[in-house]
Amino acid sequence: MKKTIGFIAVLALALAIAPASASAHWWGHSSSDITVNNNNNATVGNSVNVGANTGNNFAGGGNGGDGANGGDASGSGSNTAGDGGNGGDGDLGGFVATGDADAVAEVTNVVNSTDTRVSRSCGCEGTRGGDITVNNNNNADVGNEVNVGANTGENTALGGNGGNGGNGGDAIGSHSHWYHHHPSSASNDGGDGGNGGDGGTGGEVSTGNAFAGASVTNVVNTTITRVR
Amino acid sequence: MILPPVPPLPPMPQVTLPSLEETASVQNSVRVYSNTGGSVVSSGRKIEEGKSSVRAQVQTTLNGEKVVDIDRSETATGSASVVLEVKSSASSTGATSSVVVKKSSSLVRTGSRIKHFISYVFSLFSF
Repeated sequence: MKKTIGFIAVLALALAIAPASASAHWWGHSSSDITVNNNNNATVGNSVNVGANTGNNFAGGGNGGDGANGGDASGSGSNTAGDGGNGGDGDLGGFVATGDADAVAEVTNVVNSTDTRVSRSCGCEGTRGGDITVNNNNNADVGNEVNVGANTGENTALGGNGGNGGNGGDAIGSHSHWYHHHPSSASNDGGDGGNGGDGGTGGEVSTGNAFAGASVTNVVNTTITRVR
Repeated sequence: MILPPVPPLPPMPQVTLPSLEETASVQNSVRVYSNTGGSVVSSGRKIEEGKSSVRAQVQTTLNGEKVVDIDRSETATGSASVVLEVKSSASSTGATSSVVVKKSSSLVRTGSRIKHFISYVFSLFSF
């Protein structure tokens, strides 16, 4: 038994790791002042569609054949046309067995993560102080549309159709002349139509499990500032 | 006993707390759907259909605060369709969310079977 699995994972990262280590030597203004400006802008859009399908299977029985038509009756005398043949019976329906259908989507967005670490390693702490300023400006627009579907249904196991019965034969040209003493004794009869066949018995359907799952995680505008 | 004079403390640096100017907008639309229903056999014959289940998880964390946290599962046994729709919206000013569950009704399934039955009956008269 086969298992159908649909899986998709989306990971979007928009990280802004600001100066890992900023010393007074590098960031100082006129003295040992430290200023860090972080500006982050992000637009994230995800459209995810996942599907798993074991369905729409068909195991129908075969259809019965049609019966043949009867022969015609013609000529003088009493003749009877042949009967039509019977239609064949439809076969039994088959057996449909499906496995599981699993569909999973995972979407993770990590947007505008700012980690600022300011380390005063200038050796100037004992001489004069320095101002430390950290400015963070984060703007984010995130949109997710996720559709997940799993399907093991809509299976069909019907029996076949019975065949049609054949048509009876025709009676053609019953002659009756004026000089015959018994004109009514000469006649042709049409045959009977055949019987239609019986439809087949339906089959069986056994399906597995269907599971659809979606996981969406958004972590937006995370700001960490450390000053030592 | 006379204590020596305390030396003056070195000037302390002024640390300005992080200035935060943050705007965020997060929109989530999640739809999960599973189906084991709608199989058709002739009258009296056997249909075994598995379990139909769905799960949706949506988490949104803004500025270090979890503002949307949804974890919802639904299961239907036998023969069924299940739909789970989760919508959420979060911004710097607040968050909203909604969860809608739809399971196949007997009317829907009956309609499906009637549709198949009618097509089957018509097929008997096809020439």
